[in-house]
Amino acid sequence: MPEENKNSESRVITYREAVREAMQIAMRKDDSVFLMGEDVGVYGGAFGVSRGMVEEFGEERIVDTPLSEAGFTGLGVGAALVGMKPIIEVQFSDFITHCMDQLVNQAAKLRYMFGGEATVPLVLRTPGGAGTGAAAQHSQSLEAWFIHVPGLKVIMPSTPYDVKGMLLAALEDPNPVIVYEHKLLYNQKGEVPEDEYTVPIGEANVSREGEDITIATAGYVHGYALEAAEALADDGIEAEVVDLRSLSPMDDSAVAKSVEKTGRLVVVEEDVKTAGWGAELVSRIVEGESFYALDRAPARVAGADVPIPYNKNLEAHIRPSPEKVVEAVKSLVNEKVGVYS
Amino acid sequence: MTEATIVKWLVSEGDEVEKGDPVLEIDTDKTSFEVEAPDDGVISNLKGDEGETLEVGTLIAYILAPGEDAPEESSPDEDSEEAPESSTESSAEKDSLQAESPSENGASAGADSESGKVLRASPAARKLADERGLDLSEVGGSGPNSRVYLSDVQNFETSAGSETSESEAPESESPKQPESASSSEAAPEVSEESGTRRESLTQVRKIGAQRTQQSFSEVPHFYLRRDMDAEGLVALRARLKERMDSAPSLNDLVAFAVSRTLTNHPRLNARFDDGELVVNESVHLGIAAATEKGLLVPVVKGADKLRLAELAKSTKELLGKARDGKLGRDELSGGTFTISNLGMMGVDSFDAIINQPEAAILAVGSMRTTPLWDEDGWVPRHTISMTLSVDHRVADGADGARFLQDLQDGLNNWELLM
Repeated sequence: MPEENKNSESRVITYREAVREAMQIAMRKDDSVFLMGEDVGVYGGAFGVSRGMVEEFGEERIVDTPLSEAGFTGLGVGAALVGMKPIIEVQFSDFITHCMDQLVNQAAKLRYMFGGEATVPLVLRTPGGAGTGAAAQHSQSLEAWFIHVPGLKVIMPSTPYDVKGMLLAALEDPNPVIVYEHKLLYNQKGEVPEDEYTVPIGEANVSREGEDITIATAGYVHGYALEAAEALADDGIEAEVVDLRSLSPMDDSAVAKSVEKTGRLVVVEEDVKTAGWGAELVSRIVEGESFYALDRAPARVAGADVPIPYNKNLEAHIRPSPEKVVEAVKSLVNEKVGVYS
Repeated sequence: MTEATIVKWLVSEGDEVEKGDPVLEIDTDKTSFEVEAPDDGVISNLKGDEGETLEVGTLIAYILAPGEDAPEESSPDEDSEEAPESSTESSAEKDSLQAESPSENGASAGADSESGKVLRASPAARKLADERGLDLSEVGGSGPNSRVYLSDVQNFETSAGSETSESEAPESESPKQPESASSSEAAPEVSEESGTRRESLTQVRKIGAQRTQQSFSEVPHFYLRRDMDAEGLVALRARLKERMDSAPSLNDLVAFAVSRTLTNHPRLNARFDDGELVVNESVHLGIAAATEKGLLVPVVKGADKLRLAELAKSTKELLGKARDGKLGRDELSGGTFTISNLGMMGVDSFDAIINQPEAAILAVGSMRTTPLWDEDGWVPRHTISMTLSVDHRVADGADGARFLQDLQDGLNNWELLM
C-alpha cells in the first residue's frame, strides 16, 4: 500500500506506543484534540496506553471521567459538535453498550440531520477481543453492531504501523470513528515511522500474496491468518491474506480482486459468527461479479455463538486459532463445506 | 474392487423397499450384479447416474426408516428431534454406506429430489463454461456429488482441444458422455482431425488389460504345442450323440479329459507364490468365453469331481450367464487351470496368456482332418492342435510334455480317465 510520509526514521515500537504516539502528535499539533476516559490520566489507562500523557498535556486535556460511559460519550459528542476533536477511551469495548444512544442516535445522525452544517469529529478508542481470561463481560467483539449504523466509521488496525496512521486519519475525519484496538495487540511490536503520517480509512491491505485462497481478516486475528498461511505454504497452499483494516467503510473490492485470482474465500473474524462482519463481507462477494470467480463456497472461521467463557481452555476452544484457519482452508480446498469454528 | 459403474437403477426416489430387494445393477471387476437393499425402508437422496463410475464407499442413497429424514449435514441447527429412536439402527448402516459424507447444500436439497439430479457447479465453472459455449452436463465434475469445478471445465477444454469447433463437430449419439475415462459404456468420442476415435473401456476390458499385461510381463511363459489325435474323441462324441438328447460338446469332452488328467499333474494345477508352490487339491476349471463386454473366464468349481453330464451342464449355465453379464463374483474367481478354445472360430492353433495366478492354460485349436502315415499308406485322421502355456517358475517343459502325453492317452482311451 502506498503510505504517506513513510520516509521518516522508522523504529520498532509496540502497538500501545504507536497509539500513544498518534495521540501525542495530534495533541501537539492541534489544541482542540483532547483525551477523555476512565483512569486515562494519572493511572495511564487500564492498558497503559496514555501513560505519561497527563504529565505532558495536563489534566485539562487528559481528562479522567467518572464511571459513566454514557456521560462522557455524550460529553464527547457535544464537544465535537462545537469544534473540539475529542478522543474518548472506553476501557473495555464491552462497556460500549452504555454509549449506544450517544453513538447511534446522536453522533451518527447529527451531521445528516443538520444538513451538513454540523460535524461530529469524535474518535472513540476501545480494546475488544478475548484471549486474556477476562470472561464474558470483558472479552466481546461487538464491532459488527456499528457497521450496521450509517454515519459511523469503524476501523480495526492490526499492526502498530496501521494503528498510528489510521488513528491520525481518524482525527482528521469529520465523522465519528470507532477505533477497535485489542488487548492482545498492545504488546505486539512493529516498525513505525517517528513522524506524522496517515493510513487511509476504508482501504484494505494485502499483507501476504498467494494464488490458491483468499483469507480476509481484520484486527488481532489477522496474525492468526498470517500464521496459518505460513503453515499452509508448507503443504503447498499459497494463501493471500487481505487485512481489511476498516470494517466501515469495508473495502470489499480488495477482497473481490483477490477472489478473482484465487476463486476461494475464507473469512477469519473474532466476533461471533452469526451476523458477524464476515457475513456482510461474504454477502458482498457473492452478490457481486466476484460470485462468478468463486470455485468453492466461501467459509468463515469465527467465534462460536456463545458468551466468552472464563475458563482458559473453553475460551480457546470457542475462539478462532491458526489451527482452525488451516483446517478451514484445507477443508475448503478439499471441499468439505460448512466448517463451523 | 475399488470402483464400480452404475448400470441401472432398479428403484426410484421414494420407492419402498424390503431388505433383499434389488436396488441397482452395478458393473464391477468382471461382471455386473444386483445390489440388494440392506434394510427395509424408503429410498431417498438417490445419487449417481447410470453409466457413472464411482469409488467404493460413495454415498448413493439412503434407506430411511418410517418418519426418518435424510440428514442434512451442513445445517447443524436443523432440529433432528423428529427422527425417532428407531432410526439409529439404520443410521449406523448409513454410515457404512458412505465413505466420506459430502455435505449437501441445504438450500438446493428440495430441487435435488424434484428431478433426481441437479447439476452442481461452482460459479467460476459455470461462467467459464458459459463463455466457451460448453454444456456443463458434458463436463464430469470431480467434486462431491460430481460437483463441477473450474479445473474440471479447464481440463475438459484441454482434452477436447483437439476436436474441431463445437459448431461443426457433430455430436455422437450419446450427448451425455462423462469425461472420466472410467465410464462403462463405450460411446465413441469422435476426433475427425486424425480419423480416429477414442472409446472408454468397459470394466471387463479394463481389468482384462491390466491382468494380461501383468501376466505377460511378469510370468515367464513357455509353450508346448502338440497335434492331438482326436479319433477317440470323435468316436465318443458319436456314441454319446446316439444315447443323449443333448450330448456334451467337443469342448466339454476336452474339459472333462483335462480335469481328470490334471489330478495326476499337480504342478500344472498349482500356483507360484512368493518363491513357494501352492498346490490346489481340486481342479477348478476356467473356461474362457468371449462376450460383448470382453473376455470372461467363468470357473467350473470342482470339475475333477463332476460327472461328464454335470460338467457339461455347469459349463453351459456359466457361459449363458457370461453372455448376459450375470456372473457372480464367486463364479469368476478361484480357477486353477484355464482352457481357451478358439477352434470353433477356425483358428488352427495359438498361444494363450496364462490367467494369473494359475500355472498353465491350454489353448485349443480347430479340429482338422490330416493325413497320417499308417505304414502302408496315408490315412485321414481327426486332429486338434493344442498349445499348453506354462509358468516356468512352476513347471518345466517335461512336466508339460507329460501332461500332454497323458491327455492324449485319455483322449484315445477314455477308460484311462475313469
